[in-house]
Amino acid sequence: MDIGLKETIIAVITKNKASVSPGGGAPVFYADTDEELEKLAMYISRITTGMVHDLENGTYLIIKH
Amino acid sequence: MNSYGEVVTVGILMGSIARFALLKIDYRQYPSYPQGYLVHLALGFIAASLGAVAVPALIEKEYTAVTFLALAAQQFRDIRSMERESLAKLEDTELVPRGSAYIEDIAKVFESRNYMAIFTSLGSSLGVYYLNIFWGIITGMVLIILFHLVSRRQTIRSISVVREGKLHFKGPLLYVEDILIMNVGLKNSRKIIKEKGLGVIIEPKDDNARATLANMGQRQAIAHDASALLGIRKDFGEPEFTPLIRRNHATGEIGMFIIPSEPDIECLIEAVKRVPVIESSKRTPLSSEVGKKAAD
Repeated sequence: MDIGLKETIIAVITKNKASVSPGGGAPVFYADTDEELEKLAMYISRITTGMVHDLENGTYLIIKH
Repeated sequence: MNSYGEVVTVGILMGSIARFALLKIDYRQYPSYPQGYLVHLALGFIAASLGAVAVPALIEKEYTAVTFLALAAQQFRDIRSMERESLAKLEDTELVPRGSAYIEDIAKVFESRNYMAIFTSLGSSLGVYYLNIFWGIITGMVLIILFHLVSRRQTIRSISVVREGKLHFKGPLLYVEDILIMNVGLKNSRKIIKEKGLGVIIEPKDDNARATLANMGQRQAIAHDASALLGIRKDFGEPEFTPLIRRNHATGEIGMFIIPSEPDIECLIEAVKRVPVIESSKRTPLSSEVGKKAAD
């Protein structure tokens, strides 16, 4: 049987530590630069087949739709 | 008065032809292999036989034979669930799923075509019995043409105006003109969407069309057909390249974003225009008193 998560935040990637509270439902990945942020988001989205959304405050969400 | 042999033969023949005439590879890309054809032709033949045999049975006052027709109806309902099940099972393998509304619609069409075969064979058998073979065949042909005309479907073309819509980004937000489609996070994906993506705006012609186009099943059918006809530049695990349709809730216009393999806007517009209006999505508020009043 196919079991998976849908419509949930799979991961949070941020370079703005203050904007994200750790210990929520989803794992949080920290990045130092924009390039790293972009790269991490791309890697994780390809691994999880989730979609990357930009919150424009230095935080990306990966959500499976 | 003709012999039963002729009655039944012509009936079966015309009924089978009716089923065959309705069985063509169309834009739905289904069925596409001889095996698929065979299944439907065989069932069409059975349907035609039932219709044809009904005439001599009734003339011989074997009224219980009518119960066989009930059996046939049951059989054809099974066809519907068979189609529904098999298409639903294949949904996972589609890059752009058909959606349950479209599947139900296709299944219903397959069921109804068998009834058309029954009625055609019944009609031509009656023609052969009361007149002669010639008129029996004519009756069958008239019925086939009639069913073709009656079963013609409304398409997006007839309920709306389809035109190109400009794709643009406001920050990470992708718009088709003023309709928000989605939030695209990755810069690289945004670049690809800007370069290869196409946008289409579908403007409803009236309130009926507006209600129909708002239906999610109808929108999914449009996305599926457009990507089936033009191909789609997307692989598994690239959700940002999935065609999406969103609605402008103020005007009822819907905007579609797609990255086709063949980026040709003319063909895309034509493909969208050819999508059938799905029966379960079709709404006609204008044919009710309240809806008419609310529209002015």
